Order: sequence, then C-alpha cells, then structure tokens
Amino acid sequence: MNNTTNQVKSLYTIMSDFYHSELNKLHKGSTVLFSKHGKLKQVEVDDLALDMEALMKKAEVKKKYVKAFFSIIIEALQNIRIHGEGAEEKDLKPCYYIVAKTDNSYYLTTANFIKEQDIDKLSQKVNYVNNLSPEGLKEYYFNTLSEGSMSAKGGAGLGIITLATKSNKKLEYSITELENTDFCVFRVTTTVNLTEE
Amino acid sequence: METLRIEGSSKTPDVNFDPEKGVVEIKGRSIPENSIEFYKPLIDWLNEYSEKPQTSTEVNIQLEYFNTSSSKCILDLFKKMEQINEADNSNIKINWYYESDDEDMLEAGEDYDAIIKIPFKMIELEDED
Repeated sequence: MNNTTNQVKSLYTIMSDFYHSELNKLHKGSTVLFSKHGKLKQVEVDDLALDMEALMKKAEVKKKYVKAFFSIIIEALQNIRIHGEGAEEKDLKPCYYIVAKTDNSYYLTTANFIKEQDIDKLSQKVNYVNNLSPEGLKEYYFNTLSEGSMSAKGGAGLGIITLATKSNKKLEYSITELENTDFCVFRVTTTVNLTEE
Repeated sequence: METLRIEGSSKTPDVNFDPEKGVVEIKGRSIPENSIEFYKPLIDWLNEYSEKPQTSTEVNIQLEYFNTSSSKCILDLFKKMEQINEADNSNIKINWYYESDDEDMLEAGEDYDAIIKIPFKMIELEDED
C-alpha cells in the first residue's frame, strides 16, 4: 500500500467519525430521511434529488419549497464533487450528507475536505452571503453571473450563493482543522423552513 | 445545416434547434454536472447558424430547474444570440416561459433580460398540478 492510498483511507475514516458525531447532534425533533458517508457518484446526486422531490410532493409540501430543496441538493452535492479535496477523482472524494426533516423544515447537511489555505476565502464567502438581505443576495448572484467566468474545475462561483438564495435561513457552517494534515472538514447545513402552508 | 435534436432526460433538457424554421427551443431540466460538455454542441450549432440564419429567429426557453453550472452556459447561448441579433443577421425574439407560481424562474429570466441586449418576453404558464 503506498502513501496516497494510506492518506485517502485515513481521510475516509476521519469523515466517518464526523458523520457519526453529526448524527448524534442533529436539530431537535429531526428525522433522518437519507444519509451517507464515503464516496459520492453523480448518479447518487441525481437520485437523491429526485427521491426527495417525490417524497416532498407526496407530503404535499408547497411547490416552491420542493423546488428550492431540489436545487439545494444539486448545488451542495455537485459542489462537493467539483470542489472537495482529499482525492483527485470526483467519484472518490471523501464526504457525507444527511437529509433530515423536522415538523416545519427540511435540511441538508454536507461535509467535505478543504485545504487549510482555503479556509479564509471560503469562510469569508459564507459569512458574506449570510449577511446579505434577500435583495442583496439577488444582486450578488446577478453580478457574479454577469461578470464571472467558469473556473477550470467547471464551477461558476454561484454554488454557495445559490444555497443561500434557495434557503430561507442562514447557512450554518463550521470548518474544523485537523492534526497532522493540511486538510480541514467543511460542513454546511442548508435549511428550507416551511413558513407558509 | 441540420436540425439539432436532443431528447431530454431527468437531468438534461429537450433541445430542438431547427434552422429551416428559425426556431431554437430548450425545455425541461438542466442539472448536468458537466454542463460545458452538454452545451458545447448547442453553441457550435448557433455559430454555424449565425453564418446563414433565417431573417427572424424565435427562441423558446422553458426550464423547470437549472443548476448554476448550466446558468453560465445558458448565458453563453444568449450572448451568441445577441451577437447574431446585433449583426443584423436575424431578428431574434426570446420567449422565457415560467410556471405561474415559480417566482425564481421568472427572476432568472429577468436576470438574463437585464444582461442581454435582446428584449425577453416573459410568458406565464398555468400550473400543471
């Protein structure tokens, strides 16, 4: 076994520990609907979005919330596959997701590795969108769409903004630095509150 | 030049670009992870069409969902149409369809309308549910 394999294996173990710890401290009254830790294939992203769409429609959730949560799943999980660290191949990036509901909300928590050097940039971006009003978010989305260009990784720089736009609650996030590695765990919870019947 | 016809899937839209009729249609969901790969043939088709377009071109966009990666590619399509329109090669009309209760999709159309120098016609569809 070479060093790379060793490192990837230990990153999966770290992610697994975070996942199990997260499951033990979910929001009060939460029911977990779908969850997974490990690797994430594109087809799993699509299936999860479609399954949740069907489940929310069946529960007669208002269409705008179904659509918002669908977009949140797609953006958050595609973000992991595009920007996650810990493995070169998209299919191998260590991560987890938890989709849960409470009486009046649906939420998605995801986690992936980021590089220590990216902590400031990412936390500044999340803090920035969290402090914008809905109108400010729309303006920021518009400016990024009209001025930005696609990154080499295929990201449009709009993922986090879209999570904040589709959510009607601030993004809850944490970045945890780890010992003996340059990687950190970035976790983010995006919530859709069912505020209207 | 040939018609570009792509059948839609759960993550990519129906595409119907007809050079004889001067009609360009995209309908459905656009959530592919690699949107550049999906949209490249559409951009290529428009490039070829721009050389000998119909005097008027009707563009119909009816999207249910699109991801952020698609949003950039869709903007690139509109920019290409803008070039064709500004070069007086074809009078382009853009119809942006949205479901009556889908404010986000209406706003997405308004965003493109504000960027692109071709007026968009916003067309509200009755809720199918």
